[in-house]
Amino acid sequence: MATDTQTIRLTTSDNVEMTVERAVAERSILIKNLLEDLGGEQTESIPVPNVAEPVMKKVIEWCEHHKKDPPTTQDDDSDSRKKSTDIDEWDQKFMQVDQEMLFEIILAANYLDIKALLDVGCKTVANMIKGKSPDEIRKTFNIQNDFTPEEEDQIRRENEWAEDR
Amino acid sequence: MNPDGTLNPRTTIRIFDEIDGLHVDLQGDDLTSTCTSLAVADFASHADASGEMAQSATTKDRSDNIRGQVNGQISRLMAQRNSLMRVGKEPKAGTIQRQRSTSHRKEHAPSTYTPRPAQDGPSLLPPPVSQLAPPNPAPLPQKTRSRSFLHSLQQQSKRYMGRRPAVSGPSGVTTYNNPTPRLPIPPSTSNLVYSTASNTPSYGRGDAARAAAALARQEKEKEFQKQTSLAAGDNKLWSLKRTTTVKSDSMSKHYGIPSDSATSLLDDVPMIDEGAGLLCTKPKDPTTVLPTELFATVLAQLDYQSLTKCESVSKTWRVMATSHHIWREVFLKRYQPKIHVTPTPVIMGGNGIGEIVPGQDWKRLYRARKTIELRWLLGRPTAIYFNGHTDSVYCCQFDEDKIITGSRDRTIRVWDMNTYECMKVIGGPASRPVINTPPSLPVQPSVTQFNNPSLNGTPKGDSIYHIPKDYHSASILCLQFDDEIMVTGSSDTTCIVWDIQTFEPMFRLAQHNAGVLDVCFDKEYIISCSKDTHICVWERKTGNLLRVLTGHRGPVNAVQLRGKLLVSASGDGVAKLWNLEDGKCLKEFTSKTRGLAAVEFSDDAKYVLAGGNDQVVYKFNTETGEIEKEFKGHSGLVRSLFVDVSNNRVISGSYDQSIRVSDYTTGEDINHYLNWTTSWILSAKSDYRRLVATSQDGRALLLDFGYGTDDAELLRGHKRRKLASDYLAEEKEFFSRLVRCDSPTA
Repeated sequence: MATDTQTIRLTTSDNVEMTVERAVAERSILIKNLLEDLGGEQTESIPVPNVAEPVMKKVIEWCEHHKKDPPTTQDDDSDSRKKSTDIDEWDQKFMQVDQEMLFEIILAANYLDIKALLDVGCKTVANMIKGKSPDEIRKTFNIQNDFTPEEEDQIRRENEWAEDR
Repeated sequence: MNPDGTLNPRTTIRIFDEIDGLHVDLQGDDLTSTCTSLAVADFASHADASGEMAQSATTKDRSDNIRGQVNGQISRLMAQRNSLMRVGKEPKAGTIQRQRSTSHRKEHAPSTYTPRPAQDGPSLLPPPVSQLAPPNPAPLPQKTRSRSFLHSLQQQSKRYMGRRPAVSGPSGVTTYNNPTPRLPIPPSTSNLVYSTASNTPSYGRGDAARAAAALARQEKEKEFQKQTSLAAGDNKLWSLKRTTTVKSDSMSKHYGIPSDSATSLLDDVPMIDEGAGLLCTKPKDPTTVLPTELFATVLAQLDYQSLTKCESVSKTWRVMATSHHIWREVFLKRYQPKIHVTPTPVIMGGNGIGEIVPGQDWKRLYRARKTIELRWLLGRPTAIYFNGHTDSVYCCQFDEDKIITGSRDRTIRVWDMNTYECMKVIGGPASRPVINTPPSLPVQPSVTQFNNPSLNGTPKGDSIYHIPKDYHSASILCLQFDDEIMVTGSSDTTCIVWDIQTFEPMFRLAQHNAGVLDVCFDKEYIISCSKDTHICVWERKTGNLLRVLTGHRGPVNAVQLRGKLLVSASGDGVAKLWNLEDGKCLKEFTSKTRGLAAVEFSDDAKYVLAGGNDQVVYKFNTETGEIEKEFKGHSGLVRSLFVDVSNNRVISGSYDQSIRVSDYTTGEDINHYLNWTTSWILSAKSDYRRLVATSQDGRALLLDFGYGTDDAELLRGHKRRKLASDYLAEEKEFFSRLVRCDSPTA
């Protein structure tokens, strides 16, 4: 196992080299597996072609904070279902970013295989949708309504059962 | 709007009915006098020689019942008077005035089941014109521009009016079985404006109207920002930016039409994030940014209401938000029962999550569950009566195919859950019933669908009479079954373990020296409790006696298992918690005054519920032993209890001839069914859609809240386990559907 102080280097898509503590970088299963496959001391910089430096910085910030978390277990299906959309306070603050950055973080977490971060990201987007009317959702994400009023009415009638009572 | 903004179904529906207390008091008078004689130790001695609990009081009580009926007349009149008085009161706006099922046959029945109360109030009307002013007047989809504001208003009111359901006529039954919630009640005015805006995309072009709309829009804009900045995880910087752009650019922004001047202006002002140092950008449609599977993960986090709202956002969103894959996640998250203990306790009825098979329409399942839930809340079951037992029916259990009942007539009956016919009668040769028994009894009119006559003594009745190798020689007091065995306990002091397929006895459990009052089992143990104050622990496989638990000072009326814990309730007024492994008593729960007749564990074993002669249901904290809640309302001994934590319901059956359905969490009364049988309720059990109760009048009663409900059949339990290949096929189907839909919209 690597010592705490061991560092590795990453090269982002915009060709910026970053030095990261190995334990932090290993929150990413992609990097962890890569390092394991390569074995021994890693001296060369690892290319991360799908993630740009600003996003990588955020991801590393998250990994730093969560480096002591217990490793993600293979949650069985029913267990992960039970999880609510609750997000812990630090993560909530962390996710208070530009919408584009939020999506970039989700994409990076997906690419780097950081399940917990991906979860937080998806929940954050879900929370932006939750409890909103279709129109509010459209406004939140700058979406154009491509339904005719008739279609809209039809959908609304189909979903009447789900209205509050 | 976060979930707080939406209306809570419970608060809108629940109005406490003061009639109940009065009604119950009046009628209770007589019964209490009977029951007071059954105080604590009395309670034990009253269980007659043959062991039936308080059976000796039967004759006395039957005469009491007649008097009770006279009292019932009085209370009915009182109830009528009260309801008349209540009409004078203004019903709270936006609430459903619940019609109670307390009302008796004939007189009240029709009004009790009016499909939808008439006083729907202001929410049925179209919103005031002023509020219809759309928040954003400018760019509109070209095709809708020609429609006038007036026209759209007419359309709208037509839609609202047209959707008022028929109160009578052939649709009545359908409406009864498939109640729909009232029209959405907007949580706030701002919300109303938003939602109506999307429905009324056209209006006049006058300057005045535009100005007014713009003003309204600005207000809403402010409101909206407040909300968005409050919403968890929302974009702080974006909100900031919005503030600066709202005045100049909000129209184009909201309709996705870029306004050059505004955007360039914005882009020139770099908004620096302290942490990452990033430029602020325009919000983007997640479906264009995120790969399908990631957006699906996002949607799977939502609740069903938000998910249905997503359908109306855009065509791409609709495809995603209607996918079976996502609805499966949302459905199972809500309805898959949690298993808390091992071995798993015996499951009552079905779990109502349908079959996990490819192509399952989970959204329809969700709707069916919601409709059934609504019927529970409104108290709209379909009633089915089972005739055949010739004496008190003490116990019952059911699954999705059958109901099994045990009776004082010394027989066990198996009833078909689909045809409601008696399939089998199990008893000794001397217990075979004769023709024209039992006499037919009144049923709850208008909601009764089946009341099949008794087959006793007919050729069909004789053909289903099964005399096994061994049988009970006295009343069947308790029973439980699973897929393999059935265990019955009898006043003959023994239990018989049966093969559930053949209904032939496997072995007898003999140790008690008085009637066996209750049994329960799991994969390892069979527990029996008796009037002799003892509890026996048996090995399920062999029937060997493992342990005798002593300590109760009265007859042990009920037992229940949860993993390694056992809870028992006694006529001495104490419920005890036992460790099954060492047979030690861990805790005692004491009723306030008198004996306990029924006891239940919550699924997670955190609470113990017990009821009895105090006429209340106590909710004890297992950890502390303290009473956390008292469920009040019964006016007679609480004879049976059933806790369904998954559906948050507690079912209690009482000597006051009522079955109560209460909210497990709050203890509030959800509904109660009084005098649906003509005597005491001796047992009552439920699952997600059914409530089965048995009565001293010799009948079993099924209240089915799913009967006639659309798609309720989809909720039947699965017959096979889901394979990995099924998931793959489903996923494939989902993505191919997405591709198909993408192309025409592009």
